[in-house]
Amino acid sequence: MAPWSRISTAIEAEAPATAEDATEFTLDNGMRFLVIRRGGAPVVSFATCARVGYADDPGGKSGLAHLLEHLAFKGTSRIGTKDWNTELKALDRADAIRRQLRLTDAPDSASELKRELDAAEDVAGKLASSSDFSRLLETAGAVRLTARTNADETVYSVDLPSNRVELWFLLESERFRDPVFREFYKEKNVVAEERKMRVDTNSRGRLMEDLLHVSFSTHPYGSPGIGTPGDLSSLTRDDARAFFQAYYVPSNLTAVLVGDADPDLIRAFAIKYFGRLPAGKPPTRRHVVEAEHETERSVILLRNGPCVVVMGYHKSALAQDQKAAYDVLCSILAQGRTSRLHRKLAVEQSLITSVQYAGSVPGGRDPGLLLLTFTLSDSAAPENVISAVKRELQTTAMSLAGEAELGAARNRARLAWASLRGSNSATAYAYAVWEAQSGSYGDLLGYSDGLERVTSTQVRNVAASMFGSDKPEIAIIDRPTATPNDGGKK
Amino acid sequence: MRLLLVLALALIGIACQAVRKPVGSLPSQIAVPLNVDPAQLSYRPLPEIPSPAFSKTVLGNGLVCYILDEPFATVVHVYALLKGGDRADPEGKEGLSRVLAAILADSDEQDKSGEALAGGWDETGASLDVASQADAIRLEAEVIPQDLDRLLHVISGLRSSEIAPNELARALRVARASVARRHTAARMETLVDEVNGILCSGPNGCPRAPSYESLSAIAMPDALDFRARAFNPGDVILAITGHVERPVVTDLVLKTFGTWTGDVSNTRGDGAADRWIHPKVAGKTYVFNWRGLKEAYVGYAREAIRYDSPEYAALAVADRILGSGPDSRINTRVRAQLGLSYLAGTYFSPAYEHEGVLAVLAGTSPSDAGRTLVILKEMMRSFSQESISEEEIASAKASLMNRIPFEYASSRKIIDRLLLSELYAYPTDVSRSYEHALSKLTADEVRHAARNWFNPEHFCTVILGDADAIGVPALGFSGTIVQRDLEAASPPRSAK
Repeated sequence: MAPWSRISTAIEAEAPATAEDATEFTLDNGMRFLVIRRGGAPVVSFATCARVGYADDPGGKSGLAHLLEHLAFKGTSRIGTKDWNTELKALDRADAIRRQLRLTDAPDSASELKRELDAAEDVAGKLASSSDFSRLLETAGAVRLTARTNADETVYSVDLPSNRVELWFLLESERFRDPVFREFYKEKNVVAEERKMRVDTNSRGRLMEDLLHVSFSTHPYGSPGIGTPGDLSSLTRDDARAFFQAYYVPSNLTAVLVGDADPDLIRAFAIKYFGRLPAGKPPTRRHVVEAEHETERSVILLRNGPCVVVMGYHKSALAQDQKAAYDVLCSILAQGRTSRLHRKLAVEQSLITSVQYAGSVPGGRDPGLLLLTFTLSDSAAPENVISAVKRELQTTAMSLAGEAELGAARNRARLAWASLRGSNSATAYAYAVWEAQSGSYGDLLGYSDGLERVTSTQVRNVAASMFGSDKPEIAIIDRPTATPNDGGKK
Repeated sequence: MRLLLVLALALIGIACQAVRKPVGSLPSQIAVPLNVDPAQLSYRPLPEIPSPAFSKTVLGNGLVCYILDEPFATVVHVYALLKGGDRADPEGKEGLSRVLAAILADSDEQDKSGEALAGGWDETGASLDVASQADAIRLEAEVIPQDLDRLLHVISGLRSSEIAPNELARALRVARASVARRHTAARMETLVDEVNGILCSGPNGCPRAPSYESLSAIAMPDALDFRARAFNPGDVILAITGHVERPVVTDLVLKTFGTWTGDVSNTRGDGAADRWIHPKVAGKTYVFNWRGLKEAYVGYAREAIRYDSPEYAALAVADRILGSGPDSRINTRVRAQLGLSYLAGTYFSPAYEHEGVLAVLAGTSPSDAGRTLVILKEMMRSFSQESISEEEIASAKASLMNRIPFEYASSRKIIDRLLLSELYAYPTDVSRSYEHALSKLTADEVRHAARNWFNPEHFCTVILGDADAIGVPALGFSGTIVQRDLEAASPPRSAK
C-alpha cells in the first residue's frame, strides 16, 4: 500500500454541507427563479438567462441576438435619459428618416435626409445618458457586470453586495420591461469592432466561424453569432424591437441567484418587480434537423503560429441515460493528461502538445458537435495527427474501458462539479444555462446517479454511434510555409 | 469553449446535492408604481466582515505554510509559490522557469519513476496547474479532502523525482508552442505585454521573453539545477484552504515537508542589483508593426505606483473615473457615444516590487487610430487639468468601497494576498489598509492624483497594428520613434 493511502478523513473538519439550499418558484407570468443560499461573504451573484440565442437570429439578420444583448445595457425610458419625451421624438424621427432613406434613390433627397438624420441623432445623443444603467450598479459595488450571447441563450450576469439585492430587481426588471434601444447605430459600430477583434484578427475565432458554417448547412447553429458585416449593417431599431418582443417574455426568462440571499425576501422582490411584466406569448424555435453529411469537410487557414487541428463529430440527440455515458466518454478521451488522446498523441507519439474538448458546440438544445482541439508539436503534420486521432477513436468505439478508467473519469467529473460550486458566479451561470437548455433544474435530479451507473458498454455504444461513420468536420490552422499562400484561406 | 466545458462538468453530479423546496403558491400580478427611483432605495448596512481565520506555520527548514479554514468548501486547494520564476532564468536560457513549470505540471504522467508519484494520482481526479510568474513558480492543485495527504506527497515528490528525457522534450515542445502562439493573434493583451516590456526593461526589469534559440539551449542539468533552487525549503510558501482541521493538516505538512533540507539558497540578495528599472519613456512613440492586422490597438503608457504607495487609493479612484468600468469617461465617450471601439479604457496595474504600469488604451479600426489617439489624449489632458465633479468622485469612491466584500468572497483571493504578501514582505492586512485609505480619502486628494498621474506629457505613445494602414508617418509624432516588427515567422517543422 502506498504511504499516502487514505490515512483518515479526519482532515475534514466535519462533513461539509454538500447539500444545496435551493429554492425554486415561478411567477404567474411564467418567469422562473432559482435561489441558492450560501454562507460566506455578504455577496450575491445574479444570472438572468433569456432562452434565446444567435441560433434564433432571423434569416439575413445574423448578429441580432448579440446586438440586443449590448443594447440591454443602454437603459430605459426612465434610466439613461435627460429628457425622455424629447429624446423619444428625436429617436422616432431618426427612425422615420432612415426608413425614407432606404426608399430614396435621388441623391439630392438623400443628402437632405442625411442632414436631417444627423440633426435628429444629435438631439437624441445629447439627451442620452446611456451609462446611467451601468453606473447605478457600479456605484453599488458591482463586479463582473457582463452578458454573453450563446447559440441557445443569452445570459446577463452581475455580482453585488447582498444589501443591494433590491437594486438589482429594480434595474433588471426595468431592463426587460422597458428597453428603448438608444444609441442603436453607434452600438452597431462597436459590434463591428468586436467582430474584428474576435474573428477577423483572431485565427481561432475565424476557424470556428468557418468550421460551424460548413458543419451546419441547414441548422442555424452554422450562423455567425456576432453577425456578418453585411447583415450587421442592415439591422434596424425596428428589428431589435420586434426580436425583443418575440423572445424576451417572462416565460422565456430564468433568474438564478447564488450567495447570501434570503429566499423569502427574493420571492417578495420577484413578485414586486418582475410580477408586473405581462406574460406574453411563449416563443418557439423552428425545428431544424441537420441533414447527414455524406462526405468529410474541411477548412484550412494559413497563419503563423502553432498548427492547430480541430475535429468535430456530430452528436445525435441523446437520451437522459446516454448523457452521462457521453460525458464519461469525453472525459476518457480528452480530459486531462492521462486521457487516451493525450497519452497516445502527446506522450507516445509526440504529435501534439495539448488536447482540449468541448462536449456540445455551439449549443446544447439541439444536437451539436463534439469538438476536439489539438495544438500540434512543431515537427508534426496535421494529416498525421488526424490519422492518429481517427485510429484512436475507432479503437475507443471498439473497446471497453476498464473499471479504473471509468472510475477516474467519474472522479474528475465529481471534482469539477465540486470545484465549480466554489464560485457563486460560476454556479449562477451554469445553473442558468442548464435551465435554458433542459427546461428544468429538477431534471438534474438523478443525473449523478446516472453517472454512477454508467457502464463500459454504454460508453462504447455512444462512441460507436459517434465515431462509426468516421466523417468528422475538420478545421486546420497551418503555416504558410507548408503551402503556397493563396491569401490565407482555401 | 471553456465555458461550455465548465457547463458540461457542472451538469455532472449536480443532482444528488440538490435539496429542492416545494414550488410556492404565488399571488397574481401586483401593480407596482413604475416610478421607483433607484436613488430612493435604502439599504441595510452590511455586517462587518471578519478577517479570514488562517494560521501561519514556519517549519524548521524555513518552509512557510498558511492554512485557511473555509467552512463551506467542498474541495481542498493547495497553493505553492516556489521563489525564482522567469526573472531567475539564466541569460541565454530564457524560458527555463516555464520549462520547469511544464515538467512539474506533467507530474501526473504514469511514466514518472519517482516513488511518490507512482500510481493513484489519476484515480483522485485531482487537478494540478503550474505556471511560471515573474518572481516565482506558482503551483495550484485541488482535491477532495480525503485525498489531501496523497496530494501533498505528490507535491513533495516533485522536488526529487526523476525527470525523464522525454519529459524535458515534451516541456520544451510546450514552451515552443507558447512562443509560436504569440504570433498567432494580436490583441489588446499583446500590446499590454509590450508595454510591460517597455516600462520594465533593463537588466533587472521584466523577464526577457523566451525565444526558439534560448529554449534550444536548455538541457537537463539546467532543469535539475533550477528545480533544486526552486524547491529550497526556505524559498517555498505553501497555502492550504478548505474545510479542514487545521491541527491535523499542520501535522500532515510537518510530516510531509519537514524532512526537506535546504542546501541551495535561491533567495535573491537585496540592493541595487534587484531593483526594477523604469526607463524614461515620456514623449517617445513605440510602434509595434503587425502587417495585415485589421484592428489597431493604440494609447499611452507610463509607470504606475507600488501597492504600498500612499497615493494608491487616490489613483485607484481617479482611474475608476477616467477609464475603468462601463460608466467611465473613456468608455462612455469612445465606445458608447462615438462607437469607435469595443475595448477602451485605462489599464492600471500597480505591483508589489516595482511601479507597474498605467496605460490608457483603445482598440479601433486602423483608419480611426489617429483620431482615437487624439481623443484619448484630450480626455487625459482635460481630466488632469480641469475639475472633476464631487458627484463623480463620490460615485467612484462608493463603487470601490462597496466592492470590499468581494475581497473576502473567495479563498483564492485571500490566499493570493497572503502568498504575495509573504513573497514580497508586505503586511498581510493589505486589504484593510486599502479600505481604511479609501474611507478617509478626500476629493482634493483624488484631483491631485489625477493631475499628478494622468498628464499626457508624462506618457509614451504606443501603437500595435499595421503601421501602413494606420498611417503612422502621417500622425506627426515628434520625439523618438521606436518601431519593431512584431509578427515573426514560425519555426520550420524540422525544428527541435
